[in-house]
Amino acid sequence: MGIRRAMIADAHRLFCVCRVVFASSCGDVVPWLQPDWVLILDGKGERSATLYQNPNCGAPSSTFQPRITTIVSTGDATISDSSKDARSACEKAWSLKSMADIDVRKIVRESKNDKPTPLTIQVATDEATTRAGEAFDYEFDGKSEFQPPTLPQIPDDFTVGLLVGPSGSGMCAVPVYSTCTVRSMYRYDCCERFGSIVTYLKWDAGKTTILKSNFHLPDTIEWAAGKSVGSYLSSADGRERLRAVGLPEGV
Amino acid sequence: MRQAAKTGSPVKKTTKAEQSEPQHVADWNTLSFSDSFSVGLVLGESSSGKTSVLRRFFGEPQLPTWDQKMAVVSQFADPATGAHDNKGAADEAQDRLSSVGLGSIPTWMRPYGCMSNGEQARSRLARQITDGAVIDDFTSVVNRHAAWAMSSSITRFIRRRNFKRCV
Repeated sequence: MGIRRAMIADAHRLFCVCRVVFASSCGDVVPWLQPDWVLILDGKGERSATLYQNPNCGAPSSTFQPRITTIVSTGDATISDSSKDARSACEKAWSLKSMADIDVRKIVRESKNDKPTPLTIQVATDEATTRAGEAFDYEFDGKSEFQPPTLPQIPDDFTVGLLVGPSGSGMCAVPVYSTCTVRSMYRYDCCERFGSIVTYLKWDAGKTTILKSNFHLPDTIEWAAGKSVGSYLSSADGRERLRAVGLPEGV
Repeated sequence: MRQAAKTGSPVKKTTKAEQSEPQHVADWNTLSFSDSFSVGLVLGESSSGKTSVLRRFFGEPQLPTWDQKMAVVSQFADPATGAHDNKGAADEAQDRLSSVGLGSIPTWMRPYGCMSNGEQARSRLARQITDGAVIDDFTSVVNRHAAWAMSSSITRFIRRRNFKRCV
């Protein structure tokens, strides 16, 4: 599975696809995906985030094999969902990768931007909301609010970026609030379902439309029933894409 | 039971001695399952046929529908969940949402479309669990620690309610 992650990252670089962002709750993809930056969302409190930049951003894929060997042989580059462990994994992955006399310049920029405007939505109140609110001493008048994470300045020039954070930390909201343009965004699930486009926050229909048009977020890919996946990807480029995600050509 | 009857899947009663030994078969089509288990788990790599096994023996997953103008906590007034009145539905919602590890009250108050992917998966699971429930892609969109906590609490919930044949 790790090899596949690395293949995808390399494929994006070989295809000259740029500004691709992956979102995952599994921080252990960092050493394999070798993204140009990792944004770690802590998912609690002030909803702050920390941005790590890969010191070897854009290194050619020919350096890929030694990179893997080094990382695997040292064992523990896996991380849990805590940001402390995630930071450790980033440092480990990138410093190991940089062993071949590459200047290591880890740039960590803590959040300095102002808090983004909270997203709000109104829902109907009923006995269920009232009773749940009372049971947990939570005042609720039907207005639900979500505070998106406060973000550092995401680099404008990158090939592959990775968002890491626990469920509900606002990973899907990041491209919406970032100043950078994101071409494609993928969600990486723990069970290898790679390449599923994220479901965008649907706070209200008007806002979603605006956000999509402003930030070039792609629409969900449609798949026709009764048509093989391979038939969509029968060209040489398509076959390369299938290999990158570890699927056979006849899928 | 309900799913088994619907799909006509083979049902076999096994002894404790038989249950303690793993049963290896060359073709999973020849498998048989006890009719009295509470929680079953199908494990396998991607493309190994997990979904096919579920369909063959236990039926299609029943996905709940969501009203986007209502909070998630308001959408448990479903006879299938055992809640028939408003008071019962409110208690049922709190019990079920807590049992899938979704303990954040502000999250309960959001409509389904305003939740993250992981929160949506847990909300779906909270409504899906009943006799004969079929859950595909279980824990696929939450991190490992959340998955462990969710598994532990959902199995306690199923056994406490004495639900059968949840896979």
